[in-house]
Amino acid sequence: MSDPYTPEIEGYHEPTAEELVARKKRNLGIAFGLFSFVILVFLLMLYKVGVAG
Amino acid sequence: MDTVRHNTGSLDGLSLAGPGDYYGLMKPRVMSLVVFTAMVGLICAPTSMNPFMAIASILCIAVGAGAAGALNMWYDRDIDAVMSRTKKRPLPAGKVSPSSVLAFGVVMSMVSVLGLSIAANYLAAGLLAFTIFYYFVIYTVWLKRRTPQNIVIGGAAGAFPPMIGWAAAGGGITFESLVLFVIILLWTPPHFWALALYKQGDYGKAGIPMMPNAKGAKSTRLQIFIYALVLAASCAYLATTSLGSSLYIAVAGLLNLTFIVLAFKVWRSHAGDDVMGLDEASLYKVKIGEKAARNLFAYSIIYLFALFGIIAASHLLSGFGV
Repeated sequence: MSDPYTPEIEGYHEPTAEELVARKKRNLGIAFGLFSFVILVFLLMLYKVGVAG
Repeated sequence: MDTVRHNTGSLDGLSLAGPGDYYGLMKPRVMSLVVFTAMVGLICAPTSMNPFMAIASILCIAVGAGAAGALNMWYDRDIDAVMSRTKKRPLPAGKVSPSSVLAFGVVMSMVSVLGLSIAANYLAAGLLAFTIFYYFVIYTVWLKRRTPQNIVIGGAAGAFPPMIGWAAAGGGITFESLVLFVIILLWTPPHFWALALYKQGDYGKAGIPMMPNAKGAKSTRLQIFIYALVLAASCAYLATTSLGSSLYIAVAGLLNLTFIVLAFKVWRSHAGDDVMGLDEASLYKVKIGEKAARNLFAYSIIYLFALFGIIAASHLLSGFGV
């Protein structure tokens, strides 16, 4: 008997191994992009503060 | 019982797209030309820039150009699917979903403009924002499917990068940066129409009013030659500015002479003529003409790299008193 308090998920697709690998690569890409952008802004700020100081 | 709809964005499951597919959305070959011309603008500006800030600025301009390319692919996904030249792009190939591409393009546009405003100045960032807007709204959405002059007016989007580079270095908007803009603006029509002459079937299939299918191959060939002459004149005009030097005059003269000769060959050829009902000898003439158009298209890419390369080189050498 199914648990009445657990909602049933409709249209759920169990990710395949290939899809999970692709998702992991995309996540790493986004993480790398965000990290690079933060570092770039940080270094630019350091330079600008240094110039102003 | 409660029902939860699990939204994966697609009923077929998760996307199989990797970072490489997103890189492909940024039109890397176009981006390389943008990066190069922006770099030349930055080098030739009368004000110097810290190398780190210069690299950061070029990176932001490259990302902005890539973002505009992604937005263009998002809007043009219907016509890209029917053209042999573009059907393998990530969107028509079904590797990425349209909503992901739109989100990617919008986020990258904002990141690039914000980044350039920090790395360089608000003028350069404003020019980059305007370029993305121009390429996406004015060219892709408005002009591309409406007028055979799409490339002529839309070509301005590709002509802005040296101006952005110049402004990023703190040179503002000057006469020299405007001439660099005009050179790319005048280079764009012969470059794209040479391609359209031997790919007009593709453009016709997609319903894009490129010059050869809208006004005919003969008119396009003549216009290619006229643009080649005007382009040479604008290059000669640059020689009268602070960017002119004897080295520039010699190399640019040779480059433009070759461009004019190739454009003349296209003008006198039968490239792009309708092949329906033609005899074998006439078909052969069309094939020869298409070869001339291919040669001009390939040369036009080398031409732009070489021309901007010599502008930067002669400017750098003048710093050493050469």
